[in-house]
Amino acid sequence: MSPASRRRAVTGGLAAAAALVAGVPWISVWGELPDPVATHFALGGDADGHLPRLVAAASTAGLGLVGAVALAVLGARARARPVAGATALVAGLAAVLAVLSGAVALANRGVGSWHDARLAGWVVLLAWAAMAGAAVMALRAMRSDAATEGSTTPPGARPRLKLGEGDRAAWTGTATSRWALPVGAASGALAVLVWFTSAPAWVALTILATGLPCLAFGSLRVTAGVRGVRVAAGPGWPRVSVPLERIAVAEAIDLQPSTWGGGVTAAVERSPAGRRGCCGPGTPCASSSSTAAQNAGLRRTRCPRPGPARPTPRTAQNAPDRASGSQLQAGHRAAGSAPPAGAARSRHIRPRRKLGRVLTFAP
Amino acid sequence: MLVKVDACSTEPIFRQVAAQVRAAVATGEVEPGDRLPPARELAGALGVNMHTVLRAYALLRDEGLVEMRRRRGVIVQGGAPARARLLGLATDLTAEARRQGMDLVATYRLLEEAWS
Repeated sequence: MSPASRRRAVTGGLAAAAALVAGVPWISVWGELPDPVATHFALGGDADGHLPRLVAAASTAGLGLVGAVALAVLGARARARPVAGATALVAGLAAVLAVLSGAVALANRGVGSWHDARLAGWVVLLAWAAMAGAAVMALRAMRSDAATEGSTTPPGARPRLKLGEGDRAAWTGTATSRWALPVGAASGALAVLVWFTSAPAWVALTILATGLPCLAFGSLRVTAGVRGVRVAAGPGWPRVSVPLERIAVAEAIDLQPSTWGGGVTAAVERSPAGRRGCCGPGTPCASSSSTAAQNAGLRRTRCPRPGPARPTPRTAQNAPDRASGSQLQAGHRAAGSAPPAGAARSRHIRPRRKLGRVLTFAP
Repeated sequence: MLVKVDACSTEPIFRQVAAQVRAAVATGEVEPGDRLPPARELAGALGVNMHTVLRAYALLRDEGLVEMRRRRGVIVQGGAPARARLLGLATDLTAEARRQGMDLVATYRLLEEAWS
């Protein structure tokens, strides 16, 4: 089974299970339910809130079904690993909503009044367990294809950056969202206006808290160089740096804004090294197009090869400021060699600038 | 923006960095209003001294291509692409003239002839 098929099968199966758990109990015990039905329960399990039967069924089962549909759509459309976290989140939400929906239906079964309904404490634990299980399954399904799915560009067609003796190079690129910065600025202005009205302070603070991430992540800058890759948000923080030694492969991938998060600029993910023949320090990297391909090629030439590097005379004279050049040249010379057997785990870097909006990390 | 320098070249590194940025501006890879990477960051990526990059940025500022503001970084100025292209052509002309053994006066005369 191909990675994409497995991904669709897992997410589709989880979505179907969530839909069944959310909807079937309501349908099967519909005639045995009181009207209204208990929909809210105290910590002890006693009912303390109710809704008309039809509204309760539509709202509770509907939420579970919406979660299941969202999971199915996300799993079918997900074409890149950076959506793994989002898919796991949606899977977990769908599972917990479905279990609680079914549990509410069963808790009201056969009681004369909604006051008599009682929700067992173990149901809540079951909901949490279902949420965790679904999230883990979705996460594993999304991640398992990382090492076998990637660039379809044949190795010979991959762009390479030619670096001579003594050459050193750095690539930097910035992706700016068209909507995040305006939304953040508007949220800030709205928060100030609300602050001076009679509205509670938490309303203004909530609006402000919504806008701040837009301002912080409305722009991202990626820099790749002799020390590795560094990704920083617009203000310079938060940022993440990946040392060169931990980079096994760099490649350009196409990510659509329709994937969760509105598009991905760069992702730093873990993956087992060596599952792809070309992965590993000192080996060529996959790459597909344009600027990102140039970026990938840059880092390919810098993949370090284990063992001492031979510095150029100029590099040796100018150490330590220029000592990193030897590492760069070592990687350049090593291009095409086999991955080392000792590389058990490595970092998998996937930069993208074209549609970049949001940074996703899957540690 | 790709910045590539040759540590073995006789040309100073700050001039190489400036030339790379100038070329990026001329080709439109970096547009007016764009912010250049902080000197510390670019220097770290290239493995050179931060002051080398700062000197390159200062050169570009003197050429009217970028604007350096405290806490706002280095921003490409409006009209910089056209000026960068012109500077690039002038640099190429100068280099070729030197390669052919021409001095400044001879090059200037050549320009006068081309201008007329």
